[in-house]
Amino acid sequence: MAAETGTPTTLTLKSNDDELFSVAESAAILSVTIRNMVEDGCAGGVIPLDNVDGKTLASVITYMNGISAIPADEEKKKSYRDKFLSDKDFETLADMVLAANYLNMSCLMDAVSAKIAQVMEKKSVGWVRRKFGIENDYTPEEEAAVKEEHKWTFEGVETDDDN
Amino acid sequence: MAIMERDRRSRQKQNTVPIDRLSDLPDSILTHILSFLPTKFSVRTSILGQRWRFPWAYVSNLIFRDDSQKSINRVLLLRKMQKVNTFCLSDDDDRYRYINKENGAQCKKYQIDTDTWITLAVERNVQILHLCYSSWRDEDFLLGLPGCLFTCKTLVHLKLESCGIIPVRVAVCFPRLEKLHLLYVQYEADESLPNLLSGCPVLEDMEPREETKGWKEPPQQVPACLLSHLRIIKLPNIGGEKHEFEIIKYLLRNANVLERMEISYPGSLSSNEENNMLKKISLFQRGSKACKVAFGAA
Repeated sequence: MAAETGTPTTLTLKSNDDELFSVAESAAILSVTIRNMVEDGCAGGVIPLDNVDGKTLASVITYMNGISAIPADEEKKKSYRDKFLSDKDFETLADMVLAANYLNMSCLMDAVSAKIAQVMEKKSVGWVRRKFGIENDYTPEEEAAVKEEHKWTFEGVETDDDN
Repeated sequence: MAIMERDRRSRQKQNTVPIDRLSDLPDSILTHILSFLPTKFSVRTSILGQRWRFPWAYVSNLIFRDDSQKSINRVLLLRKMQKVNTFCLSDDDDRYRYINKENGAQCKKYQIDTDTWITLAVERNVQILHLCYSSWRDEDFLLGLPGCLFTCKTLVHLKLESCGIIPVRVAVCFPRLEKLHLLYVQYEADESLPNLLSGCPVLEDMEPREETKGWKEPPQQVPACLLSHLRIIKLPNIGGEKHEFEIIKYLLRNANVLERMEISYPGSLSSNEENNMLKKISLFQRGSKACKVAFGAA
């Protein structure tokens, strides 16, 4: 960890498409992956993040700055997370969940996963396939067999509404 | 021609198929996402495509809402994951009731199944256990809980609603329990709640509804969690009885790290009764200087 100098330490992160980002160390160490690098003294120069592209990294840094500015109040943090994710499309959410997994940020990982789950819940199978672009690669016989195996899960409420 | 072109383009736009990013995610992330869904919906994702056939079986959270015994048993048999992280069972919609209190055999069968599920969850190191039977509140039949639950070493959050008898004769040991919420449970004896608390050394947050039934007198020995861990206490439905004041007084005096006590009282209380109660409580000595006491009518 950098010596206490009184001025906040800044780290430089590099995305896999060679974009550079400056971020306060105190915010960046929300990522356990980055924290470990800092603690091992490997964060002197530029920190390469080979699995995250610039667009996603910019978004993750916005989140890091936003959430670390909130004092220890779980409810305020939760409402920040909800707001932060509210305007993200499915593709961005998939990028974010991969980045959060690679950066080892459990709070972001949980929030994005919960958001994706929330979108899928109570929706018809057709709706989920359409929205997420999932190809149905079962043969009709296979599909019927899977449906028969888990018959009970197809009873009850489901919707094609976008809300 | 131009119109046809525009028409074709707009049709094309509508038909744009999003790129399937979810199916490309590694198994560990896919099961993590599924773990936020009620089990019924996570099992149902198996129909989406080949990639989705089995991930549900590796999810460590089990969340059953108004699901039949048969369905629950089926999931427990078919899943491949050993560990159970979260086990939530709620039955709060009358429309989906599968048992009928007038039918003793049915109640017995449900009791046997519930015992099996909880025992399984305890053996698989469950951390979060919620059992909520809010639609059963006015029934004669009260679901019991197996003894093994009360010595679960891994439990971090326990919520019981309208089920269970809190024992006094058996030892309670929840070495990791941080949150305890009890609503409409029964207490075997007046000492049930202090007995329970003394088995929860790191408890931080408790909400015992109708706590007065399980706690008539403050215990001789102060439970360890009160001295060092308990930060939040919620006491609903305080009517201003003498023994209630005794308990509040005791908790405020002995809870050394308490941050917040929330007391709610019935809306039927007169403003005079209300004022007297608040005045009395605000004068109680507090073991924790940082403690805030909030009052509110229910």
